[in-house]
Amino acid sequence: MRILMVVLTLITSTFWCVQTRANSVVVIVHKDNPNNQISKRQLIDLYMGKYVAFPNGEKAMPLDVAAPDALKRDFYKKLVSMPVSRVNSYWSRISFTGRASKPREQENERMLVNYIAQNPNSIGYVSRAQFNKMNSKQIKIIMELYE
Amino acid sequence: MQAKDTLLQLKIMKKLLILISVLLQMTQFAIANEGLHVSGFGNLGLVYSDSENYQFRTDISKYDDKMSPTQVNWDAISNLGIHFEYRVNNNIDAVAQFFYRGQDSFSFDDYTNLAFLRYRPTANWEIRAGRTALDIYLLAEYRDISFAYPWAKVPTEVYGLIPHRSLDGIDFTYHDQTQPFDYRIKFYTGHSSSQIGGLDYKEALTLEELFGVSLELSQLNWLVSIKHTQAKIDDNTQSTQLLTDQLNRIPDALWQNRESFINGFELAGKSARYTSIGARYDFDPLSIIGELSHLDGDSSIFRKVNSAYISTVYSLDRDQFFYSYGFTDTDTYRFEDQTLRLDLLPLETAQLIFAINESSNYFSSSQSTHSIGWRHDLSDNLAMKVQLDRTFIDQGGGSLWFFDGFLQTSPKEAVTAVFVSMSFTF
Repeated sequence: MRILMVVLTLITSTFWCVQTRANSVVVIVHKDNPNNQISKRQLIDLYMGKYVAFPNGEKAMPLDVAAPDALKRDFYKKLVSMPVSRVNSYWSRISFTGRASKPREQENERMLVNYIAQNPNSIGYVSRAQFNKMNSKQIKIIMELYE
Repeated sequence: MQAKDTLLQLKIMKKLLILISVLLQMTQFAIANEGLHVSGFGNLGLVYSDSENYQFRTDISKYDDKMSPTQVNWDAISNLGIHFEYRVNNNIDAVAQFFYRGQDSFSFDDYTNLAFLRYRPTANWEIRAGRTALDIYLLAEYRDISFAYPWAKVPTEVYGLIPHRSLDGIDFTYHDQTQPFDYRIKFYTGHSSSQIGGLDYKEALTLEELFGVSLELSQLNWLVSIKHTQAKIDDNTQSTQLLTDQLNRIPDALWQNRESFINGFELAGKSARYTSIGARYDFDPLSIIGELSHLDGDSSIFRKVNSAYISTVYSLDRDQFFYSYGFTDTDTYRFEDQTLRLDLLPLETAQLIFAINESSNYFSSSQSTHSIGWRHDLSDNLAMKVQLDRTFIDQGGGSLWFFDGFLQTSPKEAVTAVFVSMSFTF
């Protein structure tokens, strides 16, 4: 009985880990970008217009994605624990006062990846599942956001 | 009277149509141009107040030609802005913003809220030249962008006495990340023009030689800001000049202190100083925002005003509930100069004394407000707000409101005001 419980626990936690990984959002940059990782605080500063630069001090161009709608919601929930409406409210006091420019929105994940492939100073996010599916050689992951 | 009202409405409609057509043309140009990004914001709101003496206004730049007979006001918090950003290259961009908030003139200058070029030599440094938002208090830069805050309007006690919104000049900003906080320091200089008004009148008030510094320390869940601005008032307002001319006619023999009084009274060349300390702290689901401000100047008109507010906001997913308390306090001015020989002067001189008291109390607001309200985000870019204010106005302290009479005789009253609005961005 004890062995059965251990096996069941192992199966459940493995399944949960796989699910969590599959639901994660990956933060991507151009493959030639010298930055290989970024902290959550740096990513928050970058996406909330507080310090729009990579860890090495190079200016960055953050990108948002319009579709699927759930991806943007998921990204900001994981990043700052805020609904998109509150993120927009925050950004309206940054962008409309001319302090910083809102992340430029790309129509979908494929267009976002193509944009990053052509602009080495840009940074964006896609779902782990989409990243695996696209298998682009022009981009690399510098952070992964889980639940 | 009815014909005059219809004419005024036609004029406003004509202006709105011109504005909309200009905005449409600009939007079409933006769509055709990839480097250009167009966005906008607005607020459609109504205000109801239960007072027959006082009518709400957001700040002293608002004037009106008559009190609304219905006590319902659509103009007070409604506005529309369109924002353009053009990215020249990685270091340079240009920003322009046009804003309608009930201005009754239609000059390009009046509607231009922002128009600047920005140069970012590194990620830390930023230089902007042109027309920028005047960063005088914590919420000053975005006071008109209703979607940016939970309330239906920014606290009138602190922001009602600041008519100026933009700065024509240059600013330098340095910001960096350190442990345990980020910091941002900005120096700005230039000049700023605005109207000040009330019922039946409006006058220009320009601040020259304006210098300011803003320091912000922050983390994602807190912010502390300290700001100080000082400027010279370029000239007397029309009414101050008129009054000064009249006072100058009184012979020295009948008023020994005339020259020194006028020197302390008139606005031309006098300094004005604005200081504020503000803070925000978020401990989910609660946030506390507060600010203390101090305004003073070297003229008896531009006297010491202390004001403050504190607000607690409780946030759920798409809802925010808030309670705020704000107050402003200024001593009432009364002309007292024993060297003026009123007994030897014509009776009309008493009217001049009355006018001195009236002018000197223009900035003398004295009131406190309790507010409760609710913001509900209907979508990612559309929010509905409801706010209930209970304001206790002291006798002679109603200068933040439209008052049909002389300010020094404005009565003590408790006013209830209800605000309902829809704010949006696009």
